[in-house]
Amino acid sequence: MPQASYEYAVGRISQLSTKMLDATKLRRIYEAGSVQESLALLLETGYGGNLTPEQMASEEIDYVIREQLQTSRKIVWEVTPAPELTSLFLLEVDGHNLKTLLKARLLGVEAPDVLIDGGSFPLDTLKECVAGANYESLPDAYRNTMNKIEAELARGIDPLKFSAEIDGAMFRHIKSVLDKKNDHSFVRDYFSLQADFQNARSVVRARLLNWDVDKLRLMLLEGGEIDFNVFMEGMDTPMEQLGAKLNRGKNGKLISQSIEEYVTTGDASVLKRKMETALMNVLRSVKWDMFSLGPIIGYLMGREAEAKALRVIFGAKRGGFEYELPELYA
Amino acid sequence: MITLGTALAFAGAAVAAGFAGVGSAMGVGIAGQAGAGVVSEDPEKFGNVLVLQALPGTQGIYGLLIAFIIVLNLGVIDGNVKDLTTDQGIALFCAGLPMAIGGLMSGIYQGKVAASGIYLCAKRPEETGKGIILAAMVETYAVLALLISFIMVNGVKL
Repeated sequence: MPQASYEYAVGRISQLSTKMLDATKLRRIYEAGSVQESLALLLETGYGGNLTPEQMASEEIDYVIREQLQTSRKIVWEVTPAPELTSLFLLEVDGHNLKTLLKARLLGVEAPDVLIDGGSFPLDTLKECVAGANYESLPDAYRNTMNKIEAELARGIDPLKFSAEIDGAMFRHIKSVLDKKNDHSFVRDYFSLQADFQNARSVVRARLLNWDVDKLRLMLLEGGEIDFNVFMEGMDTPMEQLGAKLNRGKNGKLISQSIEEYVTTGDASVLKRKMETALMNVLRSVKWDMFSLGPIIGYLMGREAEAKALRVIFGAKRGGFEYELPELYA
Repeated sequence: MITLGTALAFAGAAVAAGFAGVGSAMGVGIAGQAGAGVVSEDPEKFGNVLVLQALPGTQGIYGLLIAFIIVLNLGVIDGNVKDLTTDQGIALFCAGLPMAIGGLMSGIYQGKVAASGIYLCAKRPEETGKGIILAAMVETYAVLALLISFIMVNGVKL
């Protein structure tokens, strides 16, 4: 039976981390002769280790990635001595499942292939909740939001709105858990940075798509260091001054630099890239903190980044174009 | 009837063996948990892991050695326990303290360094030797504690 100790957990994670793919290995996979050869090379590294030969024969990269991610999430869940904090990093999976289940219910279809196991909440619980429109078994933030969405669905369906509301619930839940635990570790830094960056990206998107302030307000996520009013005022701030306007709190400088780079280059993806790098840097800063949650979460998020990189690489290979790797942990 | 001095000398032996033993137990425990994590994923690393796990065990042995010398000097082995003055008892109690405190703390910290060495061994097995050297550095302070306790015990004239 696994022991709930950092020593044991980090021991297992240290060994498992040796199997993670770095930029060199990914390059080699990309440079293989064909997609099939790339996949064979990937499987040789031990990626998707629990696949049966029949599953491997299907040669579906998405399937392999999903299996590996589910295995990694399961291991992390099994070894973590701090399940409540670890669960916060798995909430994106739950958000995806909730959105998918709700859309599937509204369309009157089943969506078993798109659902992902290994989130913070059991998948069966989420299925029951959405099917019965009864969210009593979910935490407050999710329950209130889902009840609100159900009420709104009676008036009309706005997928963007309910997607944003579920994301908002995720960050409200994260904030309430961190406040309740009085946590001031890298976990708070990570989500605070993510909230601030996502809010800055929402302002940029809102301006590009000519959204009004009310719509922007819906997209803003709690838990960051920059006040919502600053983001909303950013809608009327000249673009050249937006970086300076958002330069508040400890994440402000980075956000400001990213926006200035966006203004100079006109490339909106720079914000996403900078955010991914900054988030990975938070995890790297605790990579060697051996008796803490740092290396465990680093492994989990590293596997997620690796999955993204593999999707990019196989997409590039099929499309015959050069890839740009997302930020890796390994 | 045992004198207060003799009782204090026994207490000196007890803290030396007891605290140093606790330090070793904690250190070996820390390294053992780290080792179990690594070996559960790669059983072939058991040999390297075992060496690193065993390193914090020496403090317990040093503590036992000091305790043994104290009780030997008291005449416990041949059955004629000496009646010590209070001053002699206090001196022997104090002689056991360096080993007790040094053993306790160095055992715990050596366990942590050994655990880090085990993680190093997991990631880069070829560097295990460096992990052992790093953990062995902590041993220096357990040896110094042993040395001073040994000199102090021998300095008490009974």
